[in-house]
Amino acid sequence: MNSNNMTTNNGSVDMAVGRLEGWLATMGGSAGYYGPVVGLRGVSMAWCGIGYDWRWEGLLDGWTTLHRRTKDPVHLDRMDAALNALTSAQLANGTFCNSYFENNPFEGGMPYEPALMAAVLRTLSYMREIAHPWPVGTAEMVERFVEERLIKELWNKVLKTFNNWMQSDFERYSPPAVAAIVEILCDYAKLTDSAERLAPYIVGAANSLLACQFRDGPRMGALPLSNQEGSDVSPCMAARALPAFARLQQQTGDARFATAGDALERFVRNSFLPDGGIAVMAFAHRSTRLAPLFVGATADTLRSFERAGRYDATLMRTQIPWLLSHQTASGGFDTAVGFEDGRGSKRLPDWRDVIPVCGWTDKIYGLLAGLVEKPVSLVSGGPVSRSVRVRGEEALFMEDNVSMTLQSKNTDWFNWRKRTVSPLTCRL
Amino acid sequence: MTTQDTTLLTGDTLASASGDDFLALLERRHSTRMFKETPVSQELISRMVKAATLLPTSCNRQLWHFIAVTEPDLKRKVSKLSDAQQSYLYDAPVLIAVFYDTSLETRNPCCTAEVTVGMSISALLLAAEAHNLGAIYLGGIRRPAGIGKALGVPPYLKCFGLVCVGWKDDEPPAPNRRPVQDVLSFNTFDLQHERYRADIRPHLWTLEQIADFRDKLLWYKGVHIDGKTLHVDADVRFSPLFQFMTTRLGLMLENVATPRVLDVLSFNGDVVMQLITAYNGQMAELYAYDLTPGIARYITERFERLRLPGTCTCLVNAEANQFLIPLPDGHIQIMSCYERLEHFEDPLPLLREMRRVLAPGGRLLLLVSNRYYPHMYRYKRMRNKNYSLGRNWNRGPERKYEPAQVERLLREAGFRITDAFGLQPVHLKMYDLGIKLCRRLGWHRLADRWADRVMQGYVTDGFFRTFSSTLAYELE
Repeated sequence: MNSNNMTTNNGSVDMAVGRLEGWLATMGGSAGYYGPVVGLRGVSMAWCGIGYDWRWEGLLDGWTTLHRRTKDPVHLDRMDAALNALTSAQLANGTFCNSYFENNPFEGGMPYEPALMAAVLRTLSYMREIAHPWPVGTAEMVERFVEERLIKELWNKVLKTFNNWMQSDFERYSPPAVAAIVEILCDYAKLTDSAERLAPYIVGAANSLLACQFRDGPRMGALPLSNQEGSDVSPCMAARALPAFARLQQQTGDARFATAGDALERFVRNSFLPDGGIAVMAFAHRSTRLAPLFVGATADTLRSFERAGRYDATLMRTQIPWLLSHQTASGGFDTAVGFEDGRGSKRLPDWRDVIPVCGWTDKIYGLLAGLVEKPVSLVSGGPVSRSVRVRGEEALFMEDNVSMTLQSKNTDWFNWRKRTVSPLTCRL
Repeated sequence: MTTQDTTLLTGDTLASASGDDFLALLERRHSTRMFKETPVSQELISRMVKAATLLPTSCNRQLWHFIAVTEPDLKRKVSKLSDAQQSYLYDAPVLIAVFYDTSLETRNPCCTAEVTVGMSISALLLAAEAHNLGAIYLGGIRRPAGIGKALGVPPYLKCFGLVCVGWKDDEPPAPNRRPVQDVLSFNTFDLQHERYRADIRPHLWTLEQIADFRDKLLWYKGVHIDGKTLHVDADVRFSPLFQFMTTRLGLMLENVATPRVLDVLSFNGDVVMQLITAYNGQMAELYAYDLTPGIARYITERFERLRLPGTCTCLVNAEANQFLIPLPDGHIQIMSCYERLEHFEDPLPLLREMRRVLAPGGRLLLLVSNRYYPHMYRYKRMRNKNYSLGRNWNRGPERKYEPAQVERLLREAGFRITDAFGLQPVHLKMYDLGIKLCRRLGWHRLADRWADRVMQGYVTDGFFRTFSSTLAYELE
C-alpha cells in the first residue's frame, strides 16, 4: 500500500481492524468461520455452519497483506490453516461443501467458489514468493477445481465461456463469475507453466466479458449480472471484473481490455454515493436502486479498484469514514442500510441490516488490512443491543461474544450460539 | 479351415463364440453424457450410418434419412429447438438427427415405421461403441418439426430424435437391468410378469412393483452418480424446499447429542448427502433406507465417487411385499421423509414402520405434496390426457393428499404433530403476478416491496399453509 493510502488512516482504521479481529475470533477461527448470511439474493439464517464460499477472500487477502508488511508468522499460520480446511471441504468434482453463501448449505456456489479460488491462488502465489511451502494437498485442490470443475464441467464448448451450472440454461453465463475464473486461470497458468494449454479458455472467457459490456446508454461500461438481454446491473458485482481486465491487459497487451476497464471504472465510480456506499442495482428502464446499500459490497468495490491498480485516494477518503461508521460495539459491521425499500433508514432498521455476516465483513477486513499503519492487536468487542423491525414487528437484536439473538415481544425469531452449525431457534 | 469356420459348423458353439463378443459390446455400451472437444471424422460417422442402414426396415422401404450436424451455430440452434436442456447436446461434436418418412405406414397397428427407426438408432449407438465413441439417444424433443425445418428437411420426413456422438469423457456406471427370466416367457405370457405393469395410479401398484420401478428409474432420472446433473430436471437439491428441509433437520440435530439419523426411502441419496455435507460429525449414525439393493448400490457408489466428507449405512427393505426397516424398535432419534408417501395408495404401513423404529421422544420431519395446491402440470395433463407431462412419468405413481388426510394418517400411525408448515404458499403466485403487473406499469418500488415479501414468504405457518405446494410436519 502506498503512502497515499495511509492518509485515510488516523488511527481509526487500526482500531477498527483490531476490533474486527476480535469479532471474527468470536465467529470461528482460521479453520473456518460460522455465521448466518444475509446476501444480495436472499438469506440463510437457519444454517450457520462454516461456509466455504467467498467469505475467505477478504480474509486470505488481508492476512497476506498483513504478513507482507509485518512478517508476523501468525498470519502465515492462518493461511496454512485456511488452505487445509478448504482442502478437506472439497469434493471429488472440485466443488466445495457449503459454498452457496445465501443459499447454503449447498455445494457449487457461483460466483462464490471462483471468488474463493482466485483468493486461494493469490495466497499461493504469495507463499511461493516468500518460499513458504504450500500445505499438503493444496496443489491438488486447486488442480481439481480448475480441471474437474471449471474445464470439464462448466466450460461451454459452444459459447466458449463458463456457465454457472451444468444443467438447464446453456446460453446464459454470469460475467462476475467469469471474471473471477479469468483471474484463476491466469494465476493457475503462471503457477503451473500451462499458459499455452489454458490460452483458449482465457481468451474465450475474456471475449465473453467484452461481448456483454454495455457500449452506450446510462449503463455504458457496465457488465450485467447475466449475459441475457434485460439483465440487471449490480455495480459492486460488475466492479469485480476490474482486476480481470487489468490481468488480461497485462498478460495479452491487448488494448481492448484497458479500454473496457476504463469504461467499467467510469460506470462504477458514478455509482458511488457522495455520502458513502454504492448503489445496489442499476436498471435499463428505471432509476438506480439505492436501497439497501451493502456495507461490505462498498468495501469490496474499493478492493476491486485497488487490485486493478485503479486506487483512488479521494474515493477512499469519502468511503472509509462511512464504512467505519457502520462498525458496531461487537466489532462486527452492519450488513446493509435500507432493507425494506429504504424505509429502514427513516424508522427502525430492518433486521437484515444489522445482522453481521462473515461473508461481507471479510471484504472490509481485506480493505482495511491494507490501510493499517501499526501492528494490530485483537480488541474484544462489547455487547450489542438494537431495536429493529422483523416483518413489521418491533424486535430486539442482541449480540455478544457467544450468541446472537433476535426477539420480539411475542416471538423468538432467532437464537444462535456462536460457532455452532444450527441455531437453537430460527423462524426467519 | 479357420477356427471361425469350425464354429460355424457346431451350432451352439457358434452362439457362444461370436455371440459373446456381441453381448460384450452391448454390455459395454452405456449412454455417454460427457464428450471431449475432439472432432469425429466424417468417415466414422459414415460407418455408423452404414451400420444403421443394415438393420431391417419395413418392406425394405428404407425411407430414413440421417443428418449429421457438426456446424457449431446450427448445432446450437438444434439444441435450442430440442428444448431438452441437456449439456451433452451442447458438448457433443456431432448430433445425428434421425428422420423417417412414415406417410405410408401411419395406421400400421404395430408401428413398423417407428420400429424401423428404433432399430436404426440402436445400430447407431452400437456402432459408436464398436468404434470406441460415446453416444446417447435423445427422444424428449419438444419441437421435432422445428428441427426438421432448421435443417431444411422436407415436411414428409419426421424427426425421431437426436443421437449425440463424440469421444467419451466420462465413465458412467452400469445401471441395473432386469434379469432375462423376468422379461422372457416361452409360448404364452407368464402372469408373474404382470408385476412390471406401469401406471400412474397408486392403487394399481404393489410394493414390489414400486420397488422395481424405483430401482430402474434411479439410473435414468437420478442425479448423475458423480454429482453432475445431466438429466431433464434441474437438481432438486438446489431449491428452497431442500434448503428448508436440510436446515430444519439441523435444528433438530442441534437439540439432540449425536443422534442416530434415518432418511426414509432415500432414492438417489440427496437428503443423506445434504446431511453429510452440512452436519458431518454431528450424527452418531446415519442410515439411508430404500426398497432394493440396486438403490443401495447407487447411493454407495455415488458417495464414494464424490468422496464425501462422511458416510452412511444403506439399509434395504427386508421383505418383498411389506415395509420392514432392518433396525430394532426405537433405534432412531431423528428421521426424515421427503415426498414419499405420495407413491403409495395406503401409506399407513410405512408410517407405522417408521413409528416403530423411532425412539420415544425422537423427531420426524415429513414433507408431503399438497393436493390443494394448483400444480399446473396436473391440469395440463388432464386437459391433454398426456401423462408424459409433469412428474409421473419419471416419479412413478403419485397420489396427492389433503392436509386433513395426512394428519389423520399420522395420528393413526401414532405420531404427534409438534409443528406444521406450508412451503411455497399459493399467494406467492399472486404476488408474482402482481409484481409483473407493477413492473409493466412502472411501479417499481411496490414491485420491489412485493418481491421482498416473496423472498421472505417461502415458509408459512399461517392461513396459507393449507394452500401450499408442500406440507411440512415435525412429529414425535
